[in-house]
Amino acid sequence: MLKIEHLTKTYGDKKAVDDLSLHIKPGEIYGFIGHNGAGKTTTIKSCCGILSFDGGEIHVDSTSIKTNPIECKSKIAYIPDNPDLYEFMTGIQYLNFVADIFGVSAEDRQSRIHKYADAFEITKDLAQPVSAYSHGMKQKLAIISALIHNPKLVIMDEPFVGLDPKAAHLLKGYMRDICDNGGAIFFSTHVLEVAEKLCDKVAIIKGGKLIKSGSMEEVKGDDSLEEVFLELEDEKC
Amino acid sequence: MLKTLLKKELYNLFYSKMQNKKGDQRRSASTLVGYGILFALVCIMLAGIVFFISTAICTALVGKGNDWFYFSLIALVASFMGVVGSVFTTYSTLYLAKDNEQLLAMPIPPSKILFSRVFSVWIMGLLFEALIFVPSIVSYCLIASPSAASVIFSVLVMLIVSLFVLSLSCLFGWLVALISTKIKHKNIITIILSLAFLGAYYYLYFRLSDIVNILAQNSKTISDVFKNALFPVYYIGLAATGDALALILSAIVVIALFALVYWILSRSFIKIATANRGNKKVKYKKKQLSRSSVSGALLRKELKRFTSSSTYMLNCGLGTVFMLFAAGYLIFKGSEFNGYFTAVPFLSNFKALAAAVVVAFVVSMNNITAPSISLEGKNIWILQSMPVPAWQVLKAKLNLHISITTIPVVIFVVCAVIVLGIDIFSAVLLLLFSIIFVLFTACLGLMINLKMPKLDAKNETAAVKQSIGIMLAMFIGWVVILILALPYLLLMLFVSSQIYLLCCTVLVTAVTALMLYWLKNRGTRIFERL
Repeated sequence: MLKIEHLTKTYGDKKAVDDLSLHIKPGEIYGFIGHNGAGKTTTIKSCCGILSFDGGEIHVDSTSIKTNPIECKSKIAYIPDNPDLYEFMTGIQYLNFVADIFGVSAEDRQSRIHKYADAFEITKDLAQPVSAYSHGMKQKLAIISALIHNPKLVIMDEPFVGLDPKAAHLLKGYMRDICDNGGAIFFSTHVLEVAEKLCDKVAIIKGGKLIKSGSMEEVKGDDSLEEVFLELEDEKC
Repeated sequence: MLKTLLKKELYNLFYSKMQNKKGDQRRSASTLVGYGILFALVCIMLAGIVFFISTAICTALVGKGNDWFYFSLIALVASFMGVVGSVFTTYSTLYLAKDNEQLLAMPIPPSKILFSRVFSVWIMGLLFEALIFVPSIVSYCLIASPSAASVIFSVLVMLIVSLFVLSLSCLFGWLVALISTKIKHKNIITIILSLAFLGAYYYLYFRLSDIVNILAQNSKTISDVFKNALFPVYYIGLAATGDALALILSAIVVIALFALVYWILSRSFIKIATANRGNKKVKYKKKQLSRSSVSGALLRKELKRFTSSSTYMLNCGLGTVFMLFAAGYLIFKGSEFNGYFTAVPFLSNFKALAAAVVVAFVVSMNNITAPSISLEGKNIWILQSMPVPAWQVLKAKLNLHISITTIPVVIFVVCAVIVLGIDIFSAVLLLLFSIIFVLFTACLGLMINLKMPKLDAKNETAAVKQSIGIMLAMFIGWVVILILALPYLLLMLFVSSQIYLLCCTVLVTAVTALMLYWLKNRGTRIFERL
């Protein structure tokens, strides 16, 4: 579903991502962990077609993001680490705008928006301007906007930040549903317990380089993910 | 601590302009020099207008020994302009700064945070006020040849007046903050008030010679009114002419006023700065959602952004209002223009050309595309992550500009054709030129903003008001008009106005086509990399 091959991205003299390769297959929840500034967001933004990259290639469902970004983006949903949404719109206007862009039919958008808004308990707030939303509500709105076009691949940057426990639980359920229906999830997180319980596979990045990846069992063995992560961080110093 | 806060405010005001689009790198030296020259040109132009007006008033008053009256008037005008122009900026600077809560969480006394905000407002106000005061003092020096002490006193008065303006701005900003949660349709009220102010300004400007005459003929009566009923203004004027006692008295009164205002502000600063300004809660009721095309959705988004911000509408859409006003003016005063054309038959050949110049001039005042990229700000990831070609995004921005500008332009052209009796061929050319010029200004604004985006603006007001691109787009538009119009003064004996207008239309069309080509290719690449 998502194939990253030898991805390299530099900012000036600094290599933010250095020859990174990952393969996320349909049905997989793939966790992406690393300390601050390790290159997670750069990788994620490159996968979504927001950032151009200097070397390597990224394929979404066998389509190159370099040569056919629009087709790739139509299959992706992206949730950024900070949900900066259009504050001049109301919640429902924003969701309808996203549905228009992704060409969601009137019936589908109706049912999906109401289904997810009811689940995240923000239906009554949809007529409010986004500027009046709390961080958590904006995060919920960003999640709903990501789900309304039924994406094949969901890429998320720290999706659980700001969510209440119920919403976080719901999101985990939706992530699993997407994968059960043949989709894939690629997300970054600092909450290693969540990654350990939720992910089928995990990749650890440090200084822009992939230092370990594979199934959860392969990466952590009998230890906890936290122990392995901290050990790897120390080892490579 | 206070020094650090003041430095931060100065950095926000000035140094941040030296950063690039994302605020992570310094702009190149050539860009900074370019900005400097442009800024200087704008200041010189505005100061020139003030110099012209103040010289007329100074000549009328100073000769009769009413020097104080001259400065009283200048102080009044500077105060009026300063207060009206800064109320909403003051409100947002004091209470809507994004780092208010961050600073309040630090071990900094709120009074110091407030003081640093007030300082920022004062600096901005002083700069605007200096644009009125400095040329007025220069006029006074040239006409009245005052002593050095008198000049120093007039500069001191400028500082006193700046404190007075600051006090009133802060007071009004505080009132706006207090009632902002209770006002419905804030944008409409802001626009109506601002347009009323602009109307009054232009009315006074166009009646300047009448006003100067009235002042000259009735200076004794008017100055008596100032001395008796408006005595604080009298003392300010007197102080500027070198009266030390008047200066001390004025300073004491203004400082006392500022102290009172600062005390009022400091009592409620935390409460207002941390207040939840959410509108009245509207509960969403499930309803059928309508579907629209991608282009329609993007255009609606642009329109929603435009209409949700009074700052955006007032700074970038005034041309629409002026165009409609010009159309109305033509209808009611058209006979006067026809009178000129009848009196000088030679001029009647230039009707369409004159109308084209008016259209181009006013259209250049609409710069809706000029801050449209900067306004994406932190939201730019939304469009960049969506399956929409960058060109479609840019087209939506162009389309909004075209939609809002073309309708009043067509209305004006129709009025001009009917009222001035422009022949069919010229009318078609005029319409064609006008519509192409609208597209030209739309492309120009977008190109400038793509080259000079400001994605890290603190808020919408900063993205619009502190965007040099808006000024640049307007001035380039006006320069283009001059470049197009001036050669006709040399060629008028050899080329008919219709042929000339046709040539101009072809030229603008060619340039616009090149600009569209640039936007579609280079522009889209720039947008994708922002």
